[in-house]
Amino acid sequence: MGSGEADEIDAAIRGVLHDILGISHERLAGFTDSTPLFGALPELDSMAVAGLLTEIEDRLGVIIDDDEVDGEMLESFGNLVAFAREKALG
Amino acid sequence: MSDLPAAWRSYEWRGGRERIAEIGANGPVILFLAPFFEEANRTRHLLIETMRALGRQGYRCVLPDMPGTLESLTPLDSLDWHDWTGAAAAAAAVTGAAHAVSFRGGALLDGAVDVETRWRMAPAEGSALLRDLVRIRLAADREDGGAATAAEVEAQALSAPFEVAGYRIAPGFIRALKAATTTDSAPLRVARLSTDAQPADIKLPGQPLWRRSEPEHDPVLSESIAADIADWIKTCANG
Repeated sequence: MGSGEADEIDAAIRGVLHDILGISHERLAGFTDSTPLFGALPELDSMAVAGLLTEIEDRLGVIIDDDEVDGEMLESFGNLVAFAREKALG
Repeated sequence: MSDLPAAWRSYEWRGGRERIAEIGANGPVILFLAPFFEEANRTRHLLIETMRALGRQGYRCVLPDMPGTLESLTPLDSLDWHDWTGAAAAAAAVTGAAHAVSFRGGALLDGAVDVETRWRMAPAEGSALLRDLVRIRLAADREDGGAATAAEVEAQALSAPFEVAGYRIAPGFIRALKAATTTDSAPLRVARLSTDAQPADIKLPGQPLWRRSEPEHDPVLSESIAADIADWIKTCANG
């Protein structure tokens, strides 16, 4: 995979967090791979997870198997981006 | 910017009456078909503002409540899919709709109405909408410590009333929703958000309000949707 494509996935996930959870661009600019998500972001409750996953599918043109979704994938921003990269770029 | 008021009308359906919101007093009638279930609540503001923008351009916009939702007195779990296609057709007939504008799942109903043109925003197939419902239910179950798989939740939804996000949906409805697909009846125009990877006739910048966890409005999106609908109807009229 090219790093350009990998950067696009990072940007797409930031876009999803902004559009679905309403997290400001200023806050998102401070997100790094180790920024905790599920359990740490009040906006990300279990109902919001459903919209988040479906939006990632629409933007990246991928299908996410719900049985692959676990706490680890949503533990940090880096884990979520890594999961999306694996899905989109293989 | 004038704020056109909404008037309340109704259509008769299966012996009862369902509500119609109407904006714009005169002109060709545009039937709005809303997204389904929770997505309808999240996009109501967007739809009403789009109707206002088209009302200012001389259209009469009508938005029916689907039976079993919003102000309807009919229990949702007593309904089958054909009740919704029938309700959409009844609302179109009583209002004299010439054009259909649908959002998300509403696009699954526009094939059932007799109109001259169809315009769709981010149309979704029934199988994708069912996956969303299963996903919402899975998220809620996991919060309660449940460990069912997506396949198990879907199998339950297909065999017994499915409770999800405050709704209770009959298995027959779920089976038909899963099989429901959009029709290709021309003239047809499909719009999607510029972030959506799927093909469309036009991509519009904006946020997927139907997935926002907190309801939001996007005035730029409603204005660009209304402008494209008006252009499309004029293009079709000029043949």
